[in-house]
Amino acid sequence: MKTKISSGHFRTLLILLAITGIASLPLAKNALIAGRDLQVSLSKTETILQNLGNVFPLRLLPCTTLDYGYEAASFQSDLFYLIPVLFRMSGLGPEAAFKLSLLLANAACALVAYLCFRSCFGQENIGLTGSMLFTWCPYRINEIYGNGNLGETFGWCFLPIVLSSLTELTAEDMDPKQAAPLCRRLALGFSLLLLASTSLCFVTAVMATLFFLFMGRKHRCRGLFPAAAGTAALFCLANLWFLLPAGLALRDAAAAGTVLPADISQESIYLQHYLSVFLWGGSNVSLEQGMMNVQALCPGAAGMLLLLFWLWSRYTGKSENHKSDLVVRRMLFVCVPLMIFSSNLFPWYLFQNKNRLFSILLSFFRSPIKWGAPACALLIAAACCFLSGRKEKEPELCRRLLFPAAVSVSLGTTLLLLRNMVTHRNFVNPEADGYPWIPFQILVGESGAFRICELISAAVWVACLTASLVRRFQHAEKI
Amino acid sequence: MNPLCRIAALHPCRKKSFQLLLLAEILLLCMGIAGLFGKNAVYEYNVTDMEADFGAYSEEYGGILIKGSVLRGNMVSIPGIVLPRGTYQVQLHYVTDTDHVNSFTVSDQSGGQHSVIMNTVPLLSGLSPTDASLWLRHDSSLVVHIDHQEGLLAVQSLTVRETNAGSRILLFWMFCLFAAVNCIYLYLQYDRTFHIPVKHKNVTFCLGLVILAASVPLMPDYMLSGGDLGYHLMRVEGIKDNLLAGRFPARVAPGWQQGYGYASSVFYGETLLYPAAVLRMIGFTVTDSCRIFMFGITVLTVLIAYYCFRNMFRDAYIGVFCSMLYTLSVYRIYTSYVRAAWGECFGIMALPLLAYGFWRVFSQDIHEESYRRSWVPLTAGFSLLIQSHLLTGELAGFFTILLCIVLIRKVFRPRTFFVLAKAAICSVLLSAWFLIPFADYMMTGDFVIHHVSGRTIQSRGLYPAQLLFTYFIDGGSVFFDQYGMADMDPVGVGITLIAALVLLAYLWFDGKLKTLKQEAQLDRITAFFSLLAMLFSLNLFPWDRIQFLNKITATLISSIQFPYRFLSIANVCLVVTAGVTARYVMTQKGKFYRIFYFSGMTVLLFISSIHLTDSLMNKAQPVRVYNAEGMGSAYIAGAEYLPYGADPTLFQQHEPLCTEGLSAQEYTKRPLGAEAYIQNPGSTDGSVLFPLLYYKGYRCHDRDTGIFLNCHAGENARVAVEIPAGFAGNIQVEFQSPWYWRIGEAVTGVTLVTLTVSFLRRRRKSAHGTDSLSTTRNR
Repeated sequence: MKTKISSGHFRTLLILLAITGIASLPLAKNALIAGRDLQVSLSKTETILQNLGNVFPLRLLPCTTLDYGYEAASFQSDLFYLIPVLFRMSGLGPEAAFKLSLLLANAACALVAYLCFRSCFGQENIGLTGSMLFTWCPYRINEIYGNGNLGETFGWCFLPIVLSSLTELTAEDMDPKQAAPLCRRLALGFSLLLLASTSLCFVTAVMATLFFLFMGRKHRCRGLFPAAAGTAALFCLANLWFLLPAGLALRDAAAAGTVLPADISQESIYLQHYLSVFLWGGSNVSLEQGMMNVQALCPGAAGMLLLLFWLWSRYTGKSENHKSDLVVRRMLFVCVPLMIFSSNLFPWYLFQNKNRLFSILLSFFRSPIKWGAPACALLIAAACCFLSGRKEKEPELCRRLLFPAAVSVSLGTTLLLLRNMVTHRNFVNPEADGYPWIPFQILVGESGAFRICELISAAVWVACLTASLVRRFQHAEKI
Repeated sequence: MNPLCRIAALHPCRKKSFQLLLLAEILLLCMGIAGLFGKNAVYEYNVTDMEADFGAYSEEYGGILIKGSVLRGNMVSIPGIVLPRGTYQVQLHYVTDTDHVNSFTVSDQSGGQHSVIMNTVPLLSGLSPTDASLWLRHDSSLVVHIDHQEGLLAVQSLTVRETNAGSRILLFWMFCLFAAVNCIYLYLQYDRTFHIPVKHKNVTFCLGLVILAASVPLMPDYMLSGGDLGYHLMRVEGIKDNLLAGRFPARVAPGWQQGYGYASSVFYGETLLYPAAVLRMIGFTVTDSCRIFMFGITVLTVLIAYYCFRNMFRDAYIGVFCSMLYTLSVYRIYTSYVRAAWGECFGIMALPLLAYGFWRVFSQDIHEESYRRSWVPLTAGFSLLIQSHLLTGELAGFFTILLCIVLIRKVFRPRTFFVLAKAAICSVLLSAWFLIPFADYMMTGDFVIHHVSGRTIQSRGLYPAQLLFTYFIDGGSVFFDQYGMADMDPVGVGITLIAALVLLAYLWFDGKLKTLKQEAQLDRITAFFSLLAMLFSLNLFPWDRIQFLNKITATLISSIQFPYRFLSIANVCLVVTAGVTARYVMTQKGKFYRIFYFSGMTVLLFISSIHLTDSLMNKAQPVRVYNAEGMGSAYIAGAEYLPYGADPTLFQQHEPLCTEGLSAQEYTKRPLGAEAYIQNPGSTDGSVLFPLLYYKGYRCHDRDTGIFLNCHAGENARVAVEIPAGFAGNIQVEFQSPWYWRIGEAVTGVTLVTLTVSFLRRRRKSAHGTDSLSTTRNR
């Protein structure tokens, strides 16, 4: 028995390493892919490195002289930039530090996705498949290498926590007593998302709202609303150190998200992009160029093929009344509006230049493409849910056909995408002379109110951590 | 009970839900129809509304004028044009002495890019005012910019007329939506009552997937830039212009070549383009019409292929499989989207009908009752080919002759000969409306197409390696003799079909195909034809040597243009071989081999065709043409249908050019015509030259007396009218189809009606026969 468990864990570890390794192939080159936000990411790292120890916490001011990023979402907490900073402090150069951070992000994503999907669907194979589909998701790969946005790269690691919590919360057979722990987990996921990327947190919050809206009255148990309200309060308190200063800064009209493209709708995608199979990993984000040299902004062929299989089984009546079917349907109901939000079909331009509230909301995500992130993540989750249901009903079919098909399609298309990115995109060497660093400024001299918020947040985090450890200890004692 | 009777047995109109649905649809349709009326607002803007960056008001021209200046850029702006959402015709009144140099644009004054759907409109000398369409997505304040680059330009006034095109488009979509909703409702009711078998659902689902996969390039809001796209868009515009002018069928497109016209319709069948022209007439933009139309063609291709291959192999799953292989074949994707060779695309759609027809004629038992009707698919196929792409018809004709030679004994069986003859005759009769004018011009005219027999084709053939390619991407080179395979266009058959051929060869050598009695001969003939067609497509084949054997071979071979056109024949033959191997697997092998074979072939199709489609989307330039002016009027591809010796670069609009002593007044240019008051007071005959390209059919008559004047091709193939001495009167020049063309149209019409009536009568007879049989059984 002991040997069996060890070999199983070893197999899982090997697979996770393989997933991480393949996702990290572009890091093997001796330069960095020149992503849109790479310059910002590297410059933020250097700024934090130079000022660490002088100011705590480090708050980077948005750089208004350059048209980088977006004002409102420049209110990033930048916490995860501490990872490359730590690598820099150990003596590594900017390029090596950044690459190691990405490697760590890939590993974390693979592991977190595996744990979350395994917990959510209760099956080892589903966890591994979900980890593979999620880590190799073309949208995510594009985020890491095509955009080079470190915050969003780490944000993707925490999306599975939110997804699995939502899935379990909305499950038919959910025990109402589990609502509170699931909500806490949800709060943790959102907190980590917020610390990584404000825009990703915003679009994921909307996704969660839609999830609850489509939940259905009978599934909204009595215990859920108080738990959710408490969780929201916990979330706000835990992140007060960031939320309050950001909220106060948003009162300033100049900072409140006016750095939007002239026509926000130009940076959306076509719906059929979600059906793309072979991707070239281009850099175009403008609708004017159509799909020419377009970025890889889709969930991947493997996930979509599984969902097509689900659609076929629904149409032919092979999967009626199966409990996973309900969950898949709910997920797809949520996916559809998200996909439409990310596409040229939704008239975002109607909300542009209307009033301050709309400007702030638009600038939180800046580009309709951002809605593709939760859409792609949810499509992958739906595919995994379908697989888990199918595995219960037809394990042989899954073993012989679905799993091998998902792995081979995912592997083939991912390798092609990575290869195309490595061969067709430009590369930069930040250690070369004349690299155009952005001179970010640090907020110096915080007010007393900010300090109080930091103390509150720190206290909440410590309390939560302690409570979590106590609960684990008690649970272990019971066993 | 047949499906239609079952649907009737559902009594949907008695169900309350359906009644409510119908009521809602009728109400909405009434509202939509009401929206067609009252859209006739006119907005006028004159010189006082204009802001001039340069130029000055000219009394002579009645507008802001610039003449002989080097100043370039925005000359005049007309701001503050506030219009509600809708569709409009924009008429700029101007005078210019250049073509396609100066232009005007309409844009949203707020800088947004969503409201205005309209291309830049070039200004042409002699074609004032413009009449460009504008689609406005929401209420906007617009500005018109007139751009000067060269020559004289006087901007006089602007008129914006509201049209009901937007309402027509809405009504069209409402019809489509309601039809779809009603069909889905009936389908669900039918399924609930009669339980559609899983097999049928599988087939429907898979066909839907094939249509989706094949239509991916049509989904964005633009067209992919293809080689011949502009040419075919102009053909559609030509049909539209003719229909709006009350001319049916279209023979000479009036808008081409700065209004001179071009008789593409006579030489290049346009039957299948009429739906696209109708979409344009409804009010859709050029891009949207093209996308909707090509989607329709894709659906038809899938369904025709499915029908033909299902009947050939007597298995719905093989029908789906072959339809998938055929519609998603590399060559079809290349033809439809890379080259935008619509004619050949229509030909590809028709070829399965020929394959199926010949299979029925030569494989079916001649004593069977249904054998007598095996001419039907052949007729349909050949008629479609003749009326959409003669070149593919030429290739199909060659292989038909070859097939008949190979199966000569079967050809001369009385029943078979009768069926083949009937197919040939019906095809000719159904195509008479096209063939007669075509033959007339080819035999009596002298066009560029008569002088291209010296054009060699061998250098445009493929390398053998291209036939074995797997991963196709969108390239840019078709000159393989100069650039080899570097960045080559994705021309080939794809690894899937090659794998099918290899598998067939293996099964044949292993003697396993002997078990398929009904497919006897079919596999060998299609394999042989596919290999032959692929050989013809190569640059190794001595086309040049054969071409210069004699005049006939020179004409026939030069007309092919590119040897790789033979891949259309190879394609259909290879799909049939794939069907044979599928039939073997389905009947002789177990479940595991079946799954392995079909999924294996699907994977191969993915990595060749889907890879190519994704590559196309990634590399192709988007083309957004909204109004006809956005594509210009000068592109005539190889100019094959131009009168020989005409120089199209000299086609400019002008007043009637009279010989000495003649005068022309009150000149009015019309599409494919002109009117003027001509005086010849002298004692010698003279002539008048009109800015129209002469084709047989142009006539001129005195509007007052009805006397016809001699009309012929003048200098640079322009319409010249002989004016006798002492003549004074209003003359009208117009193009009219000769009377024998009309007879051809009548023959086609009568044939079509006769065949339709005969078909309906037979169906009614067989339905009665089935009903009485079931009644007898029940007793």
